[in-house]
Amino acid sequence: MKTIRIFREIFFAGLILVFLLSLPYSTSAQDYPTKSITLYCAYVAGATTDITTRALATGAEKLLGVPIMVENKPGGNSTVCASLLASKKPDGYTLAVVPTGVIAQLPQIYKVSYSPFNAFTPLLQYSRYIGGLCVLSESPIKTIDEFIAYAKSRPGLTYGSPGMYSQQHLAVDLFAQCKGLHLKHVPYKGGAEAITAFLGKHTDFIAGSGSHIPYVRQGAFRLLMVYNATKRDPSYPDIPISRELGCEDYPADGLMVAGPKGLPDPIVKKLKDAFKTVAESPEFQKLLVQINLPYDYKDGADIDKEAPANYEWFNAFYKKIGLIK
Amino acid sequence: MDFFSSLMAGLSVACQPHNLLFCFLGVFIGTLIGVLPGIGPVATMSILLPMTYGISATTAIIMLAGIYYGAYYGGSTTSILVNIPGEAASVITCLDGYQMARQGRAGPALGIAAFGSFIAGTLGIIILQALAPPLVSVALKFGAPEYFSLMILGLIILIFLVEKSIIKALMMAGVGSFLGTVGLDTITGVARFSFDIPEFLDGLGIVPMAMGLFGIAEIFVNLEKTIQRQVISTKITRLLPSFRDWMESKWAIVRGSVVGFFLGILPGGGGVLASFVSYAVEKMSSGTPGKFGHGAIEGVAGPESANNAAASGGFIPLLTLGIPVGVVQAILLGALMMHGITPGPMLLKEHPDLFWGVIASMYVGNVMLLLLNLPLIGLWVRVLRVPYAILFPLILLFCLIGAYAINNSTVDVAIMLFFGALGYLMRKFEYEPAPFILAFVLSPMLETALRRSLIVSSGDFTIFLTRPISSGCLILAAVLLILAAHPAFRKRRRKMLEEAR
Repeated sequence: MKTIRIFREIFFAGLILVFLLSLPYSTSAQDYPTKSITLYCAYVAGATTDITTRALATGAEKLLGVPIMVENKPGGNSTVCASLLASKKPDGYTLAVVPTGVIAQLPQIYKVSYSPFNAFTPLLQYSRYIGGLCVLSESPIKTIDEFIAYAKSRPGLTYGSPGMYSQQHLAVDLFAQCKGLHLKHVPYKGGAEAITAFLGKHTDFIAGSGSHIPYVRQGAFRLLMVYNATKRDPSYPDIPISRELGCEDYPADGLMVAGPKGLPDPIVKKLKDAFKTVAESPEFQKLLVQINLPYDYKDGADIDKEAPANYEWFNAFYKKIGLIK
Repeated sequence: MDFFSSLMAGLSVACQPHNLLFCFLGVFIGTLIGVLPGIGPVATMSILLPMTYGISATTAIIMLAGIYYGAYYGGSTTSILVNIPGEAASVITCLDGYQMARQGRAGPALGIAAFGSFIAGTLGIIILQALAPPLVSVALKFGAPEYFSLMILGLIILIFLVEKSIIKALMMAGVGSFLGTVGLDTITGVARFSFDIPEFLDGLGIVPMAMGLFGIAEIFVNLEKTIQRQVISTKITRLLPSFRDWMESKWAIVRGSVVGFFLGILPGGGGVLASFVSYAVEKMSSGTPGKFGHGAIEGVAGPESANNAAASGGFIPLLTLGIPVGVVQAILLGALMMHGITPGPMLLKEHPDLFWGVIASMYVGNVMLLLLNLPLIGLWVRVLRVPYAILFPLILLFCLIGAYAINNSTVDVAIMLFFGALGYLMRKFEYEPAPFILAFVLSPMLETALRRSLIVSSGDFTIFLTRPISSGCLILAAVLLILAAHPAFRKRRRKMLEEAR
């Protein structure tokens, strides 16, 4: 019985110790950061967003002097990660890389646990997602005009996209409406699935989301048109963008680093400086070129400022295409 | 480059000291996390990904790949010992593996799992090396209609998995299909049955579900019996499979390897499907189907071989076309891109040392895994001798931690516990979990494939019959269905049920 008493005492001592260890330490902005920072990524490990997230983490670690742990929280088209971030304390120790759409767009389509303008402190945007309409290189279609003619003569061409209502799907849809084409959208879960189906010739063309670029480079696909863009892709200066062809385009989602709402200003400044320096560094720029993401910097304050206008624009847009009432 | 010269070239890369070291590290870690319930290769690879920055791309992939197929070796251990699937693909091993352990045959079960995995893994790599390009073109031919028909075939195979009442099994399959619809629907983008829980948007996790249905339920059932009574026979007969065990398993291993490899190539296929199909194939081709579910060694040898072969098969689309068939391969893809290598059709031409080096390291890794796992069998078997009163709290603790560790989310723990309670009730009322899990995995894929096919065909259902592969699968499914209703089969089933009693 004595042993049981000893066990019980050790057990309670342990409980108290665990309790003490779990109390949050107070942190003042001057000392920030004093412990490791968690950086969530809204996509699975190995995805392009994840690669950039890890590069940012490695670079910022050196500047901030504390480890930055990347944790993948994929799912729900980034709403899982966004909801999680919104629920965290704004002490600067939990941040996330999410698409800018979590503020103005996703809450209108999905039921999320946060309210759009009161959930995040955007720090900076560093890139944006791109898109390209491609056919297989063995196809006789060489330019976008030939494609339009072909599509008119054969209504019902199928194309794969990374998801229903993804920016790639909506851009191609707008293009189709603009040119009077009848195209059939086949939604997939992510760019890789769409590419696999396309390689197997199960769809006629593809609404590429960035993962098509290696195949274009290696000669398996032919890029006909770029969308989700306001100017031509510098790596493909001969390829027109859909706006040039007179069509409305769907604006691209950006990749941003954000924290929960209410992040204190001194912490915000420290983080912004650190991440901006990393984003502008030659190593990071080289990585962006390698994975074919454009460098598109925007300060967090600007993202916040544009949010209400964006919300209205997307609200009208979604109503027009019948996504919401 | 012919077979042997490319193999030699690959081995010269794979046997460099640092590559050997990282290969060992990878398979060791892989085995460890495969044994630990819950946490799997995906979580581990994401955590270790930053470690690969400083090393070369070839070495990085060798290590990460080692973690992946190593996990399949380890995953069978807990399935056999304590009926807890370490991976979703190890679920089916629980059925016969655990029964073998209860009969004191844990050693042979673990042994045949290790050997089967080794043989299947090696066979898989040989096929990969020799037949990669033609196999990929076959895999690419699988579009939505083919997937639909394949899933139908898979569900029909379910009938052959059933131990007891077919009606109850169909009910379980129905519930499993229903739960498979939870989450974000791919085709319409609408969230189904997510109850505003963000973690449900990606569907209910199969790993916590399987851990609950098999592992936690087993704990509850065992607790019901008095703890004094020894749950597992401590009469350990032998540590390694006997000659008879080998004779019984040899074809299971071969069939499992073939089935597993081909299902592994298909995007979305993978180890889970491979192990289930292999089990059904073994049961169908056995002369004594009654012993399945009561410690038939083929029920371990087949599925374990299948899931390792599937792991090898999964590398083909990645290395030849840069297409990831699952999340694990997507991580490998990301690792390659981080090192500035873009996988795709040109990978073999541009980076032959990486291509052949990784393939050769898989041979080496499989040998290492066999050498690692066999001596450990004695250790694992001793674990079973620990009194259950001490063992089960530890098992429970590992399950709780493991379920949380999958996604750092308490929702997974809740799912596991819920299905643990449900699994207990199912056991009491004799509803089988295997059809449930199979339907849960297959139905969402089936539904998505059906709707995609109909989009492409503009609502025309004949698309499933006009395409050769698709109609082939459907015809096979119809044949199996007829067989199941045929008097000769029903007589066999009756005999099987009698044998089981």
